Amino acid sequence: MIPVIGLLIGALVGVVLDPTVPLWLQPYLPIAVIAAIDAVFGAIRANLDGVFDDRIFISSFASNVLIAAFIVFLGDQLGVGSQLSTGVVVVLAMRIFANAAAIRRNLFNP
Amino acid sequence: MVKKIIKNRRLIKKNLSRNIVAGILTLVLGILTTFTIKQNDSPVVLSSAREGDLVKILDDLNNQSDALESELVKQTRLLETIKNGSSAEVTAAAQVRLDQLLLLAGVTPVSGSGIKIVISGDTYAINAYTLLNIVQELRDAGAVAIQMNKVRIINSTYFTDTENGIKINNTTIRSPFNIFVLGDAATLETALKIPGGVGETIATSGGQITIDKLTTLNIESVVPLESPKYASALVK
Repeated sequence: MIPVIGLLIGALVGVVLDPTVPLWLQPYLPIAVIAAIDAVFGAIRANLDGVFDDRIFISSFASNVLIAAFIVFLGDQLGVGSQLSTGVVVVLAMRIFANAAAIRRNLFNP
Repeated sequence: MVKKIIKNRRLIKKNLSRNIVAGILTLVLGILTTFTIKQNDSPVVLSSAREGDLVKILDDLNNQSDALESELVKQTRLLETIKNGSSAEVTAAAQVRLDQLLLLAGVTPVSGSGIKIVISGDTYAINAYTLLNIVQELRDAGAVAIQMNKVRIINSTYFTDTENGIKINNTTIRSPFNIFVLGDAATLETALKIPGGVGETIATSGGQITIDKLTTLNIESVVPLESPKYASALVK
């Protein structure tokens, strides 16, 4: 329950505040968001499986975001930024789908 | 029993702390997501345009920026000359500006090339609205100065229907209306003769309209210059 409320409050804060994301951060933000969504889906799955651990959630959330941003940064430096971000997005999306499938199975066939 | 309650309490506490941690992280996620969405709200028309269109848009923009740059250079030069130039240059620039304003205000007779329009017809064919319409069409077509039956038409001119004719400011005029217009003759004529335009409206309601192009044309009538009562210019 609290996570859902947190998400809603976060969305509300984001809507109310008028953010000016610094220019150097802009390429990394979308990737970071996808990575964070992946971590959240992973956490939901773990919770349904009964093996949720807050420490793992924190570390996966942080490392997902940081690694995704780092990969994009590295790609930018190597001149393959857009291709590499596409790759990262594809992998993260696949993971999200896999987690979503696990969550679905867990919910409908307990 | 007591042990079990303590264990339960510990479990609840642990659950709560887990939930709070998850809540904080999802809060961060919510903020990040909305920020990103807002960032992407800017127009994305270009990203879906085809290569040819993009080249065309780029060309247009380049042309535009060239034109603006040369305009900037011109204006900067003018500014420089006004700032540090001799008083003669300043006077010349001021004179140009004054001429423009005099023309706009209609306080001085003017001459040039343009057209002469003669309209005749009864009040059904021509009323105050028709004349106003003509003035608007002429202005759209770039008319510099307009005179109707010895009355100069300026920005504050008004038209009223009366029993004796059409009142322009304080002068009542009647058909036929002689309208002198300074401006590009071809454009002005086209503006009046355009299908469905003023000329056709007058003709279908029983009036006559004739247009003559004139290479030399004088507009003698002027309007008195009134000093503003309720407003004064902000001079910087």
